[in-house]
Amino acid sequence: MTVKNTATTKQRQPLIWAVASGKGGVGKSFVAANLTMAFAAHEKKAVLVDLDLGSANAHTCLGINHPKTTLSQLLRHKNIDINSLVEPSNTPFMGLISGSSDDLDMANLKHFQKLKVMRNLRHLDADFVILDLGAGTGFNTLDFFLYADQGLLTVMPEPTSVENTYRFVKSLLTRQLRSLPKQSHALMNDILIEQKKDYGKIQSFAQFLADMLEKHPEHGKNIQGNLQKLQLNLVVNQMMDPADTKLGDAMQIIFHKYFSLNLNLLGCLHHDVHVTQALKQRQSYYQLFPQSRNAICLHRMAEKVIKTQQIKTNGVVN
Amino acid sequence: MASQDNHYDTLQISTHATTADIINAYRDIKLIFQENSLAAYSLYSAEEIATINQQIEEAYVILSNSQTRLSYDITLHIHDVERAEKEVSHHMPIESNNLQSAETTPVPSEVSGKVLQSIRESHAITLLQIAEKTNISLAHLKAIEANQSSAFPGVFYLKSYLKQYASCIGLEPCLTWEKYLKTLKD
Repeated sequence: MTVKNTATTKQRQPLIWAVASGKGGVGKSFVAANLTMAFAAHEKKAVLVDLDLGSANAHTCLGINHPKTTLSQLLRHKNIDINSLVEPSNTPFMGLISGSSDDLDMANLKHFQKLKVMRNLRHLDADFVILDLGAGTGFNTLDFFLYADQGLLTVMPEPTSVENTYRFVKSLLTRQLRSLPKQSHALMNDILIEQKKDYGKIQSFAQFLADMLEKHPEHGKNIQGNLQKLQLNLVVNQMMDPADTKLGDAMQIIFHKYFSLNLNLLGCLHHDVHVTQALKQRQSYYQLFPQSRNAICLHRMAEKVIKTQQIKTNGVVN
Repeated sequence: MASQDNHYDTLQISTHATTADIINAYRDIKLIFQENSLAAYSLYSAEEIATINQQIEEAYVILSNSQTRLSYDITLHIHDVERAEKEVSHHMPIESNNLQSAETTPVPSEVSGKVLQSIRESHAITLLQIAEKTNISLAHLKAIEANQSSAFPGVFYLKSYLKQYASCIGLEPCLTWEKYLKTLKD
């Protein structure tokens, strides 16, 4: 029950982490659920919000059997405190807002409903709020991802997964840049048309940005500023081959070269049959196998995040 | 395709990078942009990857040679005094020390790891410099100075490494080895 408010800490704003991936089945829910556990193990209040709308199952990854509350209640009722929807778990410092018994039309969240959820997420009384998003590049997923303070991409060493991750980032950038003024859009289109004429196809995003900065510096800088808001992190999941460890570094370089984005490699997790075993026993992997190398990796990731966060906040104070 | 990239951007390194950094960066980036690379294939077409590879090769050829790199830096208006000094301190002292001290430092009557270390330090040569020059790992060089013959696969290796080490700090290799061996046996 530790997640319930301790009234005094009301003003603190949770840090929102969104976990997404282009492709399904790479382990978003696993990473999200177990990272939440890891944060809680560091005695940070962490709440996992299952935003895999319509196919929510984060509760199973956490080992919570029949959650009584659901996110739908927030949309159904007026003036409901989001903190009352947090399902406590047997682990201290950890809670879940489940989507297990959502309304059946939850997958098609309307725009105003989405805004309501977003608004309320900030009111959660926690240090970390982890959003487990759905696969794919739907607007809901993209918008929640952009709304979060930190985005976490999960990828596994498979062509399909890597491909879809790039696809996800492309959609993300397009969505992020839609808020630019109309004039910018017109100029952007011009540049894209020019690229098509010169090279036969559209070039990398980095090239587009470079062209933009050269020809229309003001608008280019605006775009650059927009991109700097994106905080992207990467977890390579289900590694099987020692050579797979290189994927994270490689993607980091490619992100810089192609998208001109900084990607922070948070960590790598190995393929482990015990994940399925934990699911079958309906317990959380992190709790069931605390000594496994993946659990230790997750623990370290959480530590890294907490430390960076501390440096950031302290830096601001100083 | 990204034609404005300078060679440093191509290899994704800073202009302060050392020669070792450049070699490592080249190796890493070649792996990323090899044919059918998992991380790159879906973003770049085969022709683009070929162009990128060509750029990487070009960049490496120029940057890995300190002469061509220097003239390239001038065209970029990079005047990196800091690095220039660092590079100089990386490569020059060993050579100059070698030449000057080869005859001047007599081999002391008793040679042990400690003695070697003090001679090395009196010449202000770091282990790292010796390691770079001789390609002997730091661990082995440290083992020489700690009299740990067990750290080597065989006496032959110890002999070879010690001789190279000795000539780096200006001692006569064969004589140094004989005396070092004697200390070890005692």
